[in-house]
Amino acid sequence: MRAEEIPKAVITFLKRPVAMILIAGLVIRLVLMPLLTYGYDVSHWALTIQHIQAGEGLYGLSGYWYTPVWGYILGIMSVVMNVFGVTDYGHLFDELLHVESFVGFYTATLTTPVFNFFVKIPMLISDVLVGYLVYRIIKERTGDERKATYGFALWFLCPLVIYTSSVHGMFDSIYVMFMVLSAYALYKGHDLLAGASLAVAVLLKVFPLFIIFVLIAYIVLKHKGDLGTMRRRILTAAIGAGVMALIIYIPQILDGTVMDSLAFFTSRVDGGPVSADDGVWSSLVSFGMRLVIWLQLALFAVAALLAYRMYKKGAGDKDKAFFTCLMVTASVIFIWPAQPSFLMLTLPFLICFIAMYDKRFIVPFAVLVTGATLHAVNNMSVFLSLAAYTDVMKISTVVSMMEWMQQPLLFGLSKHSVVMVVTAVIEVIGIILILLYWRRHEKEAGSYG
Amino acid sequence: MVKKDAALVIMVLIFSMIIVGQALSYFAVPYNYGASAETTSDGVMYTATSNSSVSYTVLAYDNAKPIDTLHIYYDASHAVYGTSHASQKSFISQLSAELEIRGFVGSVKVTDAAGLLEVVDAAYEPGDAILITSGVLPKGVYDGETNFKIFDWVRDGGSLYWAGYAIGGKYADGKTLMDAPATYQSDIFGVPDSILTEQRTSTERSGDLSKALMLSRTNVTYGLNVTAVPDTLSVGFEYTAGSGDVYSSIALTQYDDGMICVMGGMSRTSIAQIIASGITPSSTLIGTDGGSLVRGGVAERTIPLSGETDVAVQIRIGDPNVVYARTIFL
Repeated sequence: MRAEEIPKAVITFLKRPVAMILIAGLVIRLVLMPLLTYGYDVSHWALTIQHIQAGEGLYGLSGYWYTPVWGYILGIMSVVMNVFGVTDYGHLFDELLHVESFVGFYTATLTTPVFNFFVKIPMLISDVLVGYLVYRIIKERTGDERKATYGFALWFLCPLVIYTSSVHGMFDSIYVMFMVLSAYALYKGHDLLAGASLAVAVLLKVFPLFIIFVLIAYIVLKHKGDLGTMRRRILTAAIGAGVMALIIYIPQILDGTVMDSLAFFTSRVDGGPVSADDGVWSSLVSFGMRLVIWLQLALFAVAALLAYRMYKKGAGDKDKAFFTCLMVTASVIFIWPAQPSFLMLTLPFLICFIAMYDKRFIVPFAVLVTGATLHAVNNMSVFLSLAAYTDVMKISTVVSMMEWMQQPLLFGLSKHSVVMVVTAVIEVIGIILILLYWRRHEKEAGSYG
Repeated sequence: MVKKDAALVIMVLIFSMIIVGQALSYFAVPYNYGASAETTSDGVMYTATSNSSVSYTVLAYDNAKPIDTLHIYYDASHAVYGTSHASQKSFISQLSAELEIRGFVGSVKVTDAAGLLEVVDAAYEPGDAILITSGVLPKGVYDGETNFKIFDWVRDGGSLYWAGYAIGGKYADGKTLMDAPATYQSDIFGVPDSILTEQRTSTERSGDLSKALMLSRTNVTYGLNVTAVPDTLSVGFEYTAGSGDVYSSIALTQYDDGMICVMGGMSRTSIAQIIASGITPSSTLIGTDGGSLVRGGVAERTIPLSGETDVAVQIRIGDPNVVYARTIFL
């Protein structure tokens, strides 16, 4: 494209519905990003950045509980904020110290709106890129611009996606982006990149690991009878994954902090970091978390079986079998009361399926997103930064709202805990509905038909 | 062709960014800081420098006493209370890193029970301090009945920093945890109920020095009774008991020629701050200052003095978490 053609191309793009959706989604995010934030997680991003600035890397001092990839992204954002002259990351507010003992995870350290804005930029970018990939996959598979735009809208305007990235400040959309990229690259035959992308996704959060069986089964299915190509593709993807994982972990291998980087998993196996003072709720969470950890082993087996089934029955439209199996696997692995942000992994594949194959899946999509979004927004502390750094509302008002949610409602459980239980049930119903709709779709269209 | 592979080009770009982020976090960390201070006719002039965008805080206080050697007690062959040896080891490692960030110039020595006995048996060396994070003293230096060696060492001028349990409440006879006599609080501090043994937290900050030092520990359990124990400075969060006595999550008390700092709970940043600052029970806040350096620069300002002695200035860069700090004893 020549330089003089660019403005014309931009104007043409802006006239398309997808551009309107993009702009609307961006405006909503840009307004929310600085104003509302979940201080507990975002203050840990400030802590991580400042540990990097102190020369302690990601694990020299405790406070960063995830694998290194997100930490490296924070390392970049540290430089970006420096360039933009951001000096004020946050402050400890004495009047909020007591909220740290509330049920849930709350902090008296509140990050500033400008910090909130900058630290969420990578999530904003990944939201756009996931939307783009969803659009691209649907467009390539169907050739229908309208369907692709519909898919983009379902992702980019989804309240759960907007909340997770722009309010919560959690990086789930980044590992979702790498997961979708991995599937897309494999679909396009770029195995090295597919493997590398999967490695990054898994090293952000473990859930994409469940998808690995589908990816392998897809290659095997694609090249049934051609053992050489099959082996070459799997080996290439494995090399991509291995090399990328090694590159990512070089600093931790050198300084002996590999085990520290796995705290996200190991702390949960121990029953999870329950800090709550609500006896019933603490016990429930601790027990539930242990149960969920062990359930993962069973779900791993289920994911493998689903992949095997695709290999056996997906010989017709292999690509449809692939995207269907991705959707089903990314759903079934969350058939437990997952944190809302985890469910982001389900959405792109579900959306692709809705737009490409069966629009009736919009019902389970709506149920799932409603449950997960209500689960996520059950958190009054997101107003604390706004109250602390602007005159829009008072800190005491937000604290009153938080205290009200902490009051007992049912069986010794607080309102906050009851809402979490109810919304978690809706989430699980959403997942079950996906599986029921899938069975109906299979009955009507045949296995992967 | 370009359009066709746009997603893959984006992927490669993102991979590159991650590698760049890795380099910026580990191999090419681009941040440099500096701090200094000196007395002038107007007071104390401090300098804070940075090559990046930062906020900084400065505080000046008096009656400060630097620590030359910090002996941290750790002995895997002796009992601990409310913690494990692995956690204690990790805590000490992290605390050492926090002290390094704060430019603690004294030497840090991790010492076992035998080493601790050697320290308290030897004549007190000015600048020596002991940190106990296990909540339990080894029998060689304390048994609550006839052996008070570690407290005698403090009386001679030593500094004892304490965390983990009620000070003097238990001691370790090897792996066996022993209870000290019930009168241990009076035996150590001369007054009963000198330690809070109930589980309590507080959000009532003791004062400006506490805020200026950015101390954040709110757990008052095992904190010192700052009402009953004389010559005590409270720099933590305060809980008022039914008796009207006030207990503090962090308090320093004069102990003849030495000092005991009692900390409720365990906070590595607060402990590091207290030790690096060198504050004593008679320290008072002279003044504070602060500001920002946008994309690097030098801040040079003066905090006025009015005849205070043993003044120290702590210059901290980074908020809410310290990325660099220096304490200059003038």
